Amino acid sequence: MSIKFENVSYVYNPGSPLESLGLDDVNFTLREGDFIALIGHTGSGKSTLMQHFNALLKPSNGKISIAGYEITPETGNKGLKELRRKVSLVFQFPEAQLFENTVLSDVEFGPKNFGFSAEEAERVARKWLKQVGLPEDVAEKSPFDLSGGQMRRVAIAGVMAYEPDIICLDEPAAGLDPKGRIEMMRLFKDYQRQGHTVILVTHNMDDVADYADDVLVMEHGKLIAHDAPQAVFKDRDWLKHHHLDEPHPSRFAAKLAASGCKLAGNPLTMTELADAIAQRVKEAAE
Amino acid sequence: MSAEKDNIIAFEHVTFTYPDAPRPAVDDLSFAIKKGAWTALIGHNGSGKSTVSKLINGLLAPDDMDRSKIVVNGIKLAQETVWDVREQVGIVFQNPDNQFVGATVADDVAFGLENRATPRSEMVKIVAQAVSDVGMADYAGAEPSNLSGGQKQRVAIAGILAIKPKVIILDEATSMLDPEGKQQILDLVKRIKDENDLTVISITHDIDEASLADQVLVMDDGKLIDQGTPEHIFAQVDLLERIGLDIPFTFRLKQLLQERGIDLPRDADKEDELVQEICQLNSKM
Repeated sequence: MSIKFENVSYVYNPGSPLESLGLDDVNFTLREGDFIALIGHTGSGKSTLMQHFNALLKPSNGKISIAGYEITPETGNKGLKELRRKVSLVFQFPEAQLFENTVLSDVEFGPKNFGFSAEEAERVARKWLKQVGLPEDVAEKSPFDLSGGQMRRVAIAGVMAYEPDIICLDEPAAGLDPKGRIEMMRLFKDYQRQGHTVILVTHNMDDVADYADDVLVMEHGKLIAHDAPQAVFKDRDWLKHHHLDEPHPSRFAAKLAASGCKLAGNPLTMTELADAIAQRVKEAAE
Repeated sequence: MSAEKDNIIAFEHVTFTYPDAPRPAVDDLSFAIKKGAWTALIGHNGSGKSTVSKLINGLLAPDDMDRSKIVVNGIKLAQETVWDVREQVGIVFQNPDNQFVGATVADDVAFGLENRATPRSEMVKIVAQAVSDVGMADYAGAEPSNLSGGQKQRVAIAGILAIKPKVIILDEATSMLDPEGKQQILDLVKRIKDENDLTVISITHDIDEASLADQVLVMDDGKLIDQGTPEHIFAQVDLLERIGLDIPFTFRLKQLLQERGIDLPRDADKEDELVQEICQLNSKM
């Protein structure tokens, strides 16, 4: 099964003086089970697009096929709960949405809401608190006594606890320290490896290079590129034209090339860069 | 002592424990910051960095005021002097959405002046200047909620400039911004620092932001575990790894190349130097 957007447009405040086009005739097909990065500037339409994945916003035009559902401008609100169990969104700073008295009840809330029994909800809540890297004793604490980074993990555990098939996260690692950021990204990569689809909204091109299989690039509500990271980051002039950053390793490779030391291919990750340099040095020695 | 006079902030044996916490968040901490310097305070989440910023302007008070001493611009922090100290220090916090009170950009920037009962005619002038200093003159009448994260942080900085403090603290002020917004804020702070003779303390775990500093202080578990120039601190890959901070790009690359049998000089730690070294390696062989 795939995730398919066909001629999807979205108009904010239609018919009012504030009318504006949020999405402009967007078409793409994503493979389920992929790790997908959604990139673009602030205001490019990333968040608007993200909210279409589980019909939080419904298209003004066009058709979306996702997780066995079809969403069109005529789609009503009936049956959307089951869709949202399968497709979940995690917004920026999800820790702002914690509300229960204890960490455990906060994480249990989602599963219970989707019909898990009390025992089952507790079991998955404890399991996912552990998976997101929190110590066992936080379960009984108030979420508001935790550090910002811990609260973020609690909020994410609360979504993963009912194991949506597709999880879409908006800058989930923003504001975390480097160690926390890597742990968070590995958590999502593992979630993908367990057979789920992960869609990551991000500004961090190194993360795109390190983790994504597929990349969507948005600009002014339009999809301006959809390809594998290698292809998206191939054309330096195109990236510059659209004010998009490159992963740090490929910036470094460009500097090497400018100094007369061109590497084979276009290394995007640190490992690829080190391999390419080593290969070049070896060839020079032969 | 003249050395003491050069310091704008001094901590001596400062200890602070949050209520019900098993351990102090800041543990017998002593350090000094020179007037006009840019200092980066680094450490992982929970290392005590932000607690330090709240101690500097008296938002938090040390456990034992007699044993701990905090001096800001020559004023010893105490209950009677806390308002004087706060005049000296402006803090830009992490989340731009948590620091707005005004209905418009100009109102928000004026808030600190209203609090200080500045006459209206003067206030109007100061606000216009501060808003234009941060490049937001076109947005003076805009609602803060309609601005981007980077623009919001610029407004927060304008609000601080209006008060004319001696010290500006960036408490992870760029960590929620996109790369462009981040760069704009750092460029802005560099400029206003020079123009207004400010001392800057940036609390960060962004290695690029920390590399702008004259001096880096490294905190772990409420203690200062090292201090020195960015070059000195970033060369200690083991230390950075242990406390969960990013290793600068050039050091990571050298590490990976070493694993592949390529040794590069230890002192090549700037990207351009490393580019030259690698290219030489190629032509020599």
